[in-house]
Amino acid sequence: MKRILTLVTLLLWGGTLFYFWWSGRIASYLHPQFHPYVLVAGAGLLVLAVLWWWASRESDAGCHDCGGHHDHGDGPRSRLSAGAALAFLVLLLPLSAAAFISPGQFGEAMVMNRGIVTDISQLPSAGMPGGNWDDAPAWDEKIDAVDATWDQSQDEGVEYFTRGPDGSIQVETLDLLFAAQEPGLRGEFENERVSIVGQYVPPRGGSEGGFDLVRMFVVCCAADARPLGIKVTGQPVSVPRMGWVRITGIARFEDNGGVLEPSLELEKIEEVEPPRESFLY
Amino acid sequence: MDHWFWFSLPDFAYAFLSVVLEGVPFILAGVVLSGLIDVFLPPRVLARILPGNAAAGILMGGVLGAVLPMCECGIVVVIRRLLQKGLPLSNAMSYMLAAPVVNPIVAVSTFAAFRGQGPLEMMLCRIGLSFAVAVIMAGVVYFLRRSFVLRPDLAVPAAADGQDEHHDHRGGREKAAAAVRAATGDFLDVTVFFVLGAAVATLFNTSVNQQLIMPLAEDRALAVGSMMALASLLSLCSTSDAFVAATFTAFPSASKLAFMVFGPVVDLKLIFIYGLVFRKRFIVFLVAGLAILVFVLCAFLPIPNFRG
Repeated sequence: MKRILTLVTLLLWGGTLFYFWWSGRIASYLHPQFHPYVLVAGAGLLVLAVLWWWASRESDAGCHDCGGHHDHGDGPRSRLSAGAALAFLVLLLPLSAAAFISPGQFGEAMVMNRGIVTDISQLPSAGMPGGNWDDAPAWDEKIDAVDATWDQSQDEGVEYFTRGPDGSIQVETLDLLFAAQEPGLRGEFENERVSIVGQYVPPRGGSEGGFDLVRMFVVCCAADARPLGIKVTGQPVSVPRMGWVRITGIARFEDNGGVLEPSLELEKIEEVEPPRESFLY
Repeated sequence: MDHWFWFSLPDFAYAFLSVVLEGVPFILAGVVLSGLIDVFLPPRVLARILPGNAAAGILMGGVLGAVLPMCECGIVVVIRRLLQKGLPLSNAMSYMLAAPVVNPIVAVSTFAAFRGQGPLEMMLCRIGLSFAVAVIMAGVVYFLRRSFVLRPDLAVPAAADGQDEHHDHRGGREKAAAAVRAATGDFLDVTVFFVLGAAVATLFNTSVNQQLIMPLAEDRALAVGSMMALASLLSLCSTSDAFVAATFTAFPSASKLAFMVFGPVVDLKLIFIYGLVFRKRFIVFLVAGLAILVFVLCAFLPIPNFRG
């Protein structure tokens, strides 16, 4: 019994890891740099399952030599203790249930528990002290050094962002949060029509006072996700909470306690399919 | 803030699965190494490598992670195997506590995460404090009885009961089969604890309102204590926790160091995984000792707020 359950456990874990990688579902769970590890571990566990089956049969053969006076605990007729049965339950049930239940994206509870980030300095790896990029002399020096060597003529007529059919600039929440702290980039967006995809998060009382457009930023895995939010003002809308939407509106940057934060004046909202890459990195 | 706890089963399942998918590859690496150690590292070879002096052994354990880096999920199973092979307890302790941080991968990630917040200083302080904590704790453990610290099945090393001689005459095929059986057994053992720990950590990670601790940033001692508690609850991997710590810009540098030194040695999933090697009473002793040590070092050492 224990031998069968061991084999099933290795196959289930290996198969689950391999399936998540193969189906692309892994993109909703881990940063891309971890995807190859999942593939290797999934394949490794499947190989281990085969090797273990072989090794346990070798063990049976070895036992004939040593007279079978000891119990390896994994023989075909070995009995399963209550503790071992419980351990296999822990190994098999939570993984299967989580894989079945998991929606592949967070809901509103998680967003509210983490708190919505509206200031780039509060973001992992942004790393600017005090939320003010002007306080970072090292960065100023780097930017000046790049400016000094950059051929300005290359900038003429160059569009850094693509535009939609209505002329709106296609951006991500991260672009606007970054622009709020970087004057040059801010000028590209301020009072311009922009279009952003994200999840609709209204205040718990309703969307009369506006709502947040949220996108998850991930360093490592979904468990460390931080919701990045852009405040959207305008008429109340009727969209499912946490539903994926494309917002088109006019970008503004407002001073909130000494920190510039981006916002959008809503012009159009439409429901869209979740993007293949739901995270920002 | 209108709530402190909000549980959602789909959120829980999603975050739990992401932790599991991230952690299992490292556990597998640990058990493969453990299986190889079991079969191909005889205790007498280990005894020959180790320094005879206990203090030198502890110091060597503290820097071993630089050569043999392991994350906190994989290290415990390797330690279990090394203890079975006769590695002195204090050496194993310093390696186990230091390796998840005192290694090149974590040094680079910490440096990258704190750009603009004194990256070099934060990296050096983190590695220095983690090394100090590991060595001090291992020094304390040196004076404890093996039977107080270890589970009964580990209290007597293999070298002492003659297994080494028994294994010596096995052929290559038998040794390979034994390594596979050892790795499989270790994988099942550690994964049970990992699943339980990941579930508890995920419960806190997804359900507790994390803005609760923000007002604590004003006071250094409270900031250090709250960041240590948060590190334990979030149970992040040591290779990436610096990126999360760096976001708490309102908190003093000392509290972020506390987060990065304490989290890799005491988090909710690790407490479960420690059960694979240590007795319950020692786990309580270890957690309390590490908490006091990290708190005292980070709250009272003159650590400035690093910038630039």
